[in-house]
Amino acid sequence: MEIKKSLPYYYLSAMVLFFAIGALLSACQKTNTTTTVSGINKPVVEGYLVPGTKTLVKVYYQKYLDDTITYGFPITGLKLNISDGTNTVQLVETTPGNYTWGDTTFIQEKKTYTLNFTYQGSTVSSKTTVPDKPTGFKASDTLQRVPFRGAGITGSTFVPLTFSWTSPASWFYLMVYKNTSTAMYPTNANSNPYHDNETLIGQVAIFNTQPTLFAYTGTYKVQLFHINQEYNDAISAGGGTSLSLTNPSTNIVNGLGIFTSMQAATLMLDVQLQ
Amino acid sequence: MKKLALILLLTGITALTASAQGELKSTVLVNGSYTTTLDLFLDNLASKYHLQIVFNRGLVSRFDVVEHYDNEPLKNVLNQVCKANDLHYWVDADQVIYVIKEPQDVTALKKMRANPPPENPDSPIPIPKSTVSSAIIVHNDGPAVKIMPKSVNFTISGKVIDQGTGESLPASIITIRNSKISTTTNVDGNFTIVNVPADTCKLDITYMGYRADTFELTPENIKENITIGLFASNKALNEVVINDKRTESLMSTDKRRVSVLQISPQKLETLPSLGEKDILRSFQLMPGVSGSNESSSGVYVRGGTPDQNLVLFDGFTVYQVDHLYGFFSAFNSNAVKDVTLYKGGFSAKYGGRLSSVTDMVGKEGNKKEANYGIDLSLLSANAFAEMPLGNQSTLLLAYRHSYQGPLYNKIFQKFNSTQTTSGGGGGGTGGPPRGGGGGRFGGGSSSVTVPTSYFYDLNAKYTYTPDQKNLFSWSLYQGNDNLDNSRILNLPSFFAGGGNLNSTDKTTYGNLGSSLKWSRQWSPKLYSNTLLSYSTYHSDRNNSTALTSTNASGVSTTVNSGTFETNNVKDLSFKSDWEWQFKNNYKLLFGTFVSHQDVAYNYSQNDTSILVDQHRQAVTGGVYTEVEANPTDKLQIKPGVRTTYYNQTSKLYFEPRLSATYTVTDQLTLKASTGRFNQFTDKVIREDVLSGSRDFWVLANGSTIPVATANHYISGFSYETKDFLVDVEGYYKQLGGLTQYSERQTGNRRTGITLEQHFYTGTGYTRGVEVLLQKTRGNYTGWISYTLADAINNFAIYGGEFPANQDTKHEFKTVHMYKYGRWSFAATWIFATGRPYTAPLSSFTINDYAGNSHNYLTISAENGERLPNYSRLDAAVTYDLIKTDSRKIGSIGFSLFNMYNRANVWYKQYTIVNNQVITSNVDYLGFTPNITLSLRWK
Repeated sequence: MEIKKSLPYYYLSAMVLFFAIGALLSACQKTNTTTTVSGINKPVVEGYLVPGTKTLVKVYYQKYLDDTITYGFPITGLKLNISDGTNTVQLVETTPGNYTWGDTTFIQEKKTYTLNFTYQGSTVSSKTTVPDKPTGFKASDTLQRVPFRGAGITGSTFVPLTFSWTSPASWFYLMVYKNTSTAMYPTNANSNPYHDNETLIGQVAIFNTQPTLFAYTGTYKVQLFHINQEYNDAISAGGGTSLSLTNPSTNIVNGLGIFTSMQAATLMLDVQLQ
Repeated sequence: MKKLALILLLTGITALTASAQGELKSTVLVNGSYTTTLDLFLDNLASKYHLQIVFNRGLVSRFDVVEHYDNEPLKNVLNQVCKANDLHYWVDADQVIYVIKEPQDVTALKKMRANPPPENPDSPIPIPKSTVSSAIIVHNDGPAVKIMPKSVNFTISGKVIDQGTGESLPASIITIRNSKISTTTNVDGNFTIVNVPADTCKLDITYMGYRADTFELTPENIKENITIGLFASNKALNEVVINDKRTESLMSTDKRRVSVLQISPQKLETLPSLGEKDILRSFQLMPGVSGSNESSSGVYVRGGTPDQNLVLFDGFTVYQVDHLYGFFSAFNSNAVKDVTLYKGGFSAKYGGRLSSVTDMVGKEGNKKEANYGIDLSLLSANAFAEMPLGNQSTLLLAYRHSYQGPLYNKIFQKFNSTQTTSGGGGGGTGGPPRGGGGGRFGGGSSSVTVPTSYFYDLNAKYTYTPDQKNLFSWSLYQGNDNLDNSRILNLPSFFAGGGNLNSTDKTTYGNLGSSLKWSRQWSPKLYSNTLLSYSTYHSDRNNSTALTSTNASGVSTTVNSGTFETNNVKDLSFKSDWEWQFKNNYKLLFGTFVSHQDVAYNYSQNDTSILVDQHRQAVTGGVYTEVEANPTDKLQIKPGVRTTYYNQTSKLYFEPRLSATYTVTDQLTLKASTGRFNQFTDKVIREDVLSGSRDFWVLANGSTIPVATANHYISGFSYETKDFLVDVEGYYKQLGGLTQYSERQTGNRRTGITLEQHFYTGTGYTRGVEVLLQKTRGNYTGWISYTLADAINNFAIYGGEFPANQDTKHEFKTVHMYKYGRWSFAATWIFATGRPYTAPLSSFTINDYAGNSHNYLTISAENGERLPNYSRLDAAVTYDLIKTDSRKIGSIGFSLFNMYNRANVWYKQYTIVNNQVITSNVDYLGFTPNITLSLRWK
């Protein structure tokens, strides 16, 4: 009988325990910081500093997911300052969202440049140091022959050229191919319209050409850029073709995109059909 | 119906003329002198010879028995007493004897048997209604003779078996009536009870899916090894119950364990299923086990992931627990006898996993007669055979093979649907993420697919019992999936003489495991179980294209491109578990284990360039000990410790465990457990599944992949009435050394690809409260369960705390089952909070230095978004096919999955088309009907 009398007490205790634990869990619930509004409003910056060239920095809005435009709308009316530590220049907005500085001597080797501007009350900034120029850049030949490619067509074997350099393999490199010819012919059956091409080749001291590298015949300006890791990370990071949902790497504080500098060594190369 | 009635009538007549329809197989020889009423005589036979005799006491108590028997076969005795009193007896398939006056009495008696009238409480030391000693004569017209016990405080040992098949029944609960003394049978069905108060005690034996039974001790039978045969229950209404609470009536048991669920696989057929009776999926209907993850048969227990659940089959570790991308568990329920899921705070006997243990014991096979069966469903054909081989051996074989019916294809196409992208930023075809939610990119090319895919699994078990003390068994399990989405495209002849384009997209994975076991009952107090096992896991994926072309001179050239992946685990293990009842109320469990694991993962591209080639071997070994102490009637406490040496880190891992229960009243039990757990082998889930298989196993190395740790803190109570059970448990788990994997390819085809692998490490915690209200008895049974939980990870790389992929705040599940004659009806409804996922928020495009545009996405906080809530209603109807001798020979089941066709989101898919990011939901299965047919032959 005593047991029976005490049962409501246990019921009560159990319920109290249950609700106490529930309340505890609810009280401790962490409010998840979901999407940050400022994240969507962050400006997109694109700026490449190369000694001997004019300075151009583009600033865009981000795009909504269902936007069909290629680039975001330009952000106009900003005051972009670039400082090399001693001199600070304010870029001029030559076209909407394109901010330039015409002095080609402003960007110099080994100097560190800081970008600054104010956007929606926050300071957007970035920093880059112009790297050393690559040294000893050479090719195993000045002529690259390319077999014509197409489905079902078996041509002769492609013989690669080798580019090499003497600067350290621990640096990050980029190769850019620009066809300087006015008359050029496609090297494959399904070639797209010509555009300059670049390849991030990472930390290496040698590079072999491949048949798909040259879509058109002609005289190419082949540039070996010593780049900073920030560029390597930003361009190779996932992005729109990625299957992994991670935020792309950027060196822009309070913004997105890339602000970097680089220096090149150049070679000329003839590309002909085999 | 007319036909049925005719059959019944005919069989009834046959039964009456032959005295019994079923053959009475009992070899019992009856001894002794009896002067009593027939009902007490039958009671006496039933208890003395452990028979199931059903009769109408009002009817048969009018008749007397005055006889002396000397080694008289039971059949003759029954014939004689029935004939003398114008009665008949009827034997059903389970060898239950019905004593009847008219044929229709059988039905009434069966009903009575199914719902027995309540029994009067017995005196503290029970006095049998009739004595069981052959020398004692009981007079029915006088008061019952009070028999004084001849022995007190002695030890008994024995075995609990299935009366029909001879199969041993592990984890049966044996309780001495009107006392707090109880024990549980071990894996071989053996038990020992020390300090039995008197040789007049009654033992109450319960086992899920079987009728509870009583065994009366006598001065004679306590001297020998007791064998107790239980009869399978025809009512399949207690499929899943909390282990402690399987008992009927007030007989609460001292066998108290914390966070334990148990399933009787034979009884699964009444639950709604997607295509197969599914052992692991049925656990998903219970609190604390996530039920909203259709793409994983592996269990998510209390915020843990499936790889944190140790799956043992006859002692060996199974690494691949599911078929067909996770939709079906890899275990054939026809080959499994007993499944126990330890949701946390488990015994020191188990280790190597953070979260939980699923321990499966395979069937040994019928010891009495050969038995064959076949199950057909829209998904697979499943056949088994079990038979005795001589007097000492049994064999069981079970094989299941899928066929590409509509159900298989429906699921297969979920993973292999092809889509068309029109330009834009690209994308590719790939499978979705396993397990947690998420979003990813899809796309690819459109083409006709001609898959030839299947899965199969095979179970074989040979058991040899040379004597009562020794048992040897060999068990084999093999399961494989062959998922093929390859395509062959013949090139037209104008392409330089023709050729073909072989696009291969083939994934094969599976597990082969085998164990050799030797169990020995050294003495009533000492038992050992020694096991040598070998388990291999393989997962191979070939996602490549071979272009074969023939030039004008007839020379063909083949160009291969694509990715190739292989992951292998080889696990050779030895363990020896011992149980020693060293003192009254104190049992010592101890043992040793050692295992050698060899894990390889290889990822190569275009046949030649190997991107990842990992090969690691590890030796894990250690000892454990645990004391099962019952210092008082009310308290049971199990302190234990497990020590493991892991050679990859050259460290000793010390894992203290403690579990305790306190019986406040017969109904109310308080329970708590805690412990530390380590995990040395992790299954890594890819964040990006396009480039290969979805997951692979790795070994901890102590640096990039640390040894994972968990601390469990669990407490709760259960309250049980005659028909209901309320069970509440709260838990908190601290997790350390968690690993997430990320793969980044750098370079491209021109420069050669290097693969950067990142193993991010972090911590986490899970916590929650589980509430279960279960109706445990009657024609209507079922339960309501609710879980309130959090699963939080903390990784510096993701900026601190974020919800884990499997985090589900609320989960409500309700299961209803009703038995009406041969019909069983079941309905289940699940509601769960949507799982978290990481979503793209916006996009942007920048040009590289050369002027080519690149698209990028900005992403939400890790798992910062939630999928819509999950809900699903399933229902099933099962009709038992029963022969007229009441033997069940099969069933027909009709199952309706996702009845209201709810579009539950599995994951989000993003495709970039013309710079636009298109988000689409990929849903789990909609309304899916299924029909199953099971047939058995003896």
